[in-house]
Amino acid sequence: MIGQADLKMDDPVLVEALRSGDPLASRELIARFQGVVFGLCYRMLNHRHDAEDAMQETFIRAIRGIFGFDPSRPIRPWLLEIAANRCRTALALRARRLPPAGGRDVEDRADVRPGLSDPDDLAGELERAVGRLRPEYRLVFTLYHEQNLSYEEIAQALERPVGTVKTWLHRARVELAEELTSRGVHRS
Amino acid sequence: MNCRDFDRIWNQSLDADRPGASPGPAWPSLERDLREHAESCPSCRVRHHRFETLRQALDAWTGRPQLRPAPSPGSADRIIAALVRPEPARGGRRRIVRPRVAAFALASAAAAGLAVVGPRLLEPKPTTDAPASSAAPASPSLKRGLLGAAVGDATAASWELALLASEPAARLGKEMIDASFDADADADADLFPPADTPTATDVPVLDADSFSPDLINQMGGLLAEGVRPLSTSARRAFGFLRAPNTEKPQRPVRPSAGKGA
Repeated sequence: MIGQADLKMDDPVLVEALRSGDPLASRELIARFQGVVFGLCYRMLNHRHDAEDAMQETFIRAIRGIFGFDPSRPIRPWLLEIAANRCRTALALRARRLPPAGGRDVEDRADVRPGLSDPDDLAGELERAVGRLRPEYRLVFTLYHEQNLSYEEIAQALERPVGTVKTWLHRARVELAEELTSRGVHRS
Repeated sequence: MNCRDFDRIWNQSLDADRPGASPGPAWPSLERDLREHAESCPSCRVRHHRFETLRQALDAWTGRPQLRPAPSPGSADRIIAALVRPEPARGGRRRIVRPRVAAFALASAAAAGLAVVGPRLLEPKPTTDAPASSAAPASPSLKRGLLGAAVGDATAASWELALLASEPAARLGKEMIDASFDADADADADLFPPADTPTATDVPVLDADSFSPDLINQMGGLLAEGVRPLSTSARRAFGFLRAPNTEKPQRPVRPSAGKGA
């Protein structure tokens, strides 16, 4: 068993503790990674409740599937990989549930009506523009720029070739650059 | 530098802007190349300004971690509680009743039954004063056994097919077949043992005298009236069961009218 004093453990030790069934290890895993996992889920799903559901499924799958995890790998990309898959599943279910013009996808989004936001709020403008990207571009952009995953890690998470990931990221950047310019955002 | 290189180098530039990334020693000269190309190429000049704006927005976006969404307090406890709950059993695919498949299975079952019964239905009933056939008739027990085996095969096949689609549909289909025959004791059934069916009951044997089209009519009527869980398609498919018309309809009589009157 690992006590409270040992809670700051590196990835292989944490994996070993999870495999031994240490309940504190589960808490440690959640505490350490729930921010990044929730951030990705929220960015992808634009809905707090759905994001929390996806985050919960991610951790449950990770802890229950810890014996299938290669402990020589870092945990974070693996968790984000599971989270990305949960988000894609949730988006697919949502697309089936809702009509094409369904409104839940924008339920929690920031106000996207033109002319309402401050053109100098660069981060806010980019945030809104990211929310309007198609899901695969948004996922790649978020994993790369927000979660700091490498091309290879994203390719592994999405089960796509690295070239596809690079293409999607490039298209996401082009769309974002056009969107920002069309909304009157200019560099100072 | 061409326009394709321009995009590629811009992407490398944005890659290098990530926290912790290093642009590399050749970066200043590449940036100069970008600017020079943008000045000489009108379309790339527009893109150059757009990418500059994006870079600035990215810097602002990644530099505000305090605004990132955070999970609600207590989410870790909820996850731990969910972990304690037993994992739902896997395996054993959920059987989903799809109306079209159910209708198809039911139609197959009914068609199998009617394939056997139909010719008998359409045959005129022999009258007592009809001349006896000169051909030697087959043994009634042989006929009955062959028919029983055929019905058994059709029932088993329909049962398997219908089970794939829907158990209720399968049960209904089998009941329809069973109800079409009199399953009374058959002295000769042991000559041709029936096909193995899931219910292990005796395969019904056709007895023309005891055959009751009323049962089929009743079943067809119920189906046509919308007995659940059948769909509209299923009701349409079984509409023909409502009133099997064995007589040729008579041509309506028109009042005679003189031509060219």
